[in-house]
Amino acid sequence: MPGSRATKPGDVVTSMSGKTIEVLNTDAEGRLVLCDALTYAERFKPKSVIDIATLTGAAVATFGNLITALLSNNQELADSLLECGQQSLDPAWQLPLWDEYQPLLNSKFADIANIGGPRAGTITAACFLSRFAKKYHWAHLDIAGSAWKSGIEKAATGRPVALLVEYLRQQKA
Amino acid sequence: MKYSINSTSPENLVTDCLIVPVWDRATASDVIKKLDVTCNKGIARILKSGDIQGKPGDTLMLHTLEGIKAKRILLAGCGKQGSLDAKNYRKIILACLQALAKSNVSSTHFLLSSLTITDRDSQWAVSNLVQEIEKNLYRYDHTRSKKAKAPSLKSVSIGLPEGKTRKTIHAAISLGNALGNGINIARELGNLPGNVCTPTYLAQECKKLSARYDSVKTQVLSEKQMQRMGMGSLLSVSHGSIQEAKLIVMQHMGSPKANSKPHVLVGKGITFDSGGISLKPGAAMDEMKFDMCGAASVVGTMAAVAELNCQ
Repeated sequence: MPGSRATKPGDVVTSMSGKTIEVLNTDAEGRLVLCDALTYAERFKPKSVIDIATLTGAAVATFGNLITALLSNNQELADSLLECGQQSLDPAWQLPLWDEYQPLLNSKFADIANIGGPRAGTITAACFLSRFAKKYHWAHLDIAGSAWKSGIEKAATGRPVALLVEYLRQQKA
Repeated sequence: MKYSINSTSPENLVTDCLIVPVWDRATASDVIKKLDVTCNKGIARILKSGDIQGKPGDTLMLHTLEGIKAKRILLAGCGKQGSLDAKNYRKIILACLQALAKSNVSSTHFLLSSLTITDRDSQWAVSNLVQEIEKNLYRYDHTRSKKAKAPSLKSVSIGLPEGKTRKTIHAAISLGNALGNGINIARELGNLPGNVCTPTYLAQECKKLSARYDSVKTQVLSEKQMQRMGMGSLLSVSHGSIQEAKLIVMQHMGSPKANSKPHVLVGKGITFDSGGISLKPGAAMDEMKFDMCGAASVVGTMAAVAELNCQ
């Protein structure tokens, strides 16, 4: 919330990973929360990590309400989630997580900036998270479009529960 | 909702509403032909009237047909015979549920769950049917002074799909139930306003859930604990709020192996996203209560996984 204790644009914070982050826009806050949670996840020595977040307006602009944006550092995991999305009628579609996008997050005053400018917002948000997800197979589901409906139908949809359950059911202990 | 398997012949099924398929161009399905033997081609005459096309999503409710035990028959358009896919199947189920909601039906029998779907098996058809029925039962009334009226539909029966055992179909019903319930949990948490569904409220709901399942353990980390771990980035976000941040760690221990590595889900749970000093535009800002839907989906998934006792 805005207030005297709130982060100001330009503030630099230190994440659990030790990386410093310049908060150029306080509204790109979801990734600031997720990055520490992703570092915390390392202690479980996970087989896979999937984060689910209403992260970017760009995901809504790209896919509307129909599809969840998927980005991943492991193609096998991405393929598996795409397949589970199809099977459960809770679809996702993959966007590229190319290294060429990473320089958009360069900061003059910290290790990384929390926004990558007005373009390719869903991808640069995932690029930010990828810096904190290097130690395991990771996928990111941006549900900013699919998680709720606006207007007269305004309500949460419960997505992507069906996709996630399908994925977990397929995993062997 | 009560679910059962009933393989009685369609004309003898005792139910408030029997749901039967109609193919494209008002073509009678085999079930309709069978029923028509009993009711003296009563359905064939209605199909000729042109009141139903048979496209996926079309429905027509019929009452009291001679010799048929069901009180009503709901004709459900299923498109071209032999080319029904999963998406249209779901569309048909939703149309049927809408038609049922308009009447005072308390029991129904879906003959549709035995339809051949080109890209799915019959277990999927049953679990998806149950999932959609459970989703359909959800009403938001937490912050309304009048509680939602209980739906009239109380019991659903289905036929046993060919070549399937009762056990596999019961498992499919359980799966659909767990999914529907998990999805509804995520919807409810998402729909709750920001002044009710705070981080503390979310943590309480997760603890309640873990109390229901032996396999689920919930630990809630406070701001102090997060500070000790150096989560300066996460804490910077809650710093401007009077509501304390929580890191909720739910673990489902389903594996019989002691040292098996887990799959981890991380859900974003900003219970209201004003944008902070970089304030969001005012229009539709209320929808920022949905900025915890990632976390809500993880809670719903945990409930389903615990219910199914996934390993």
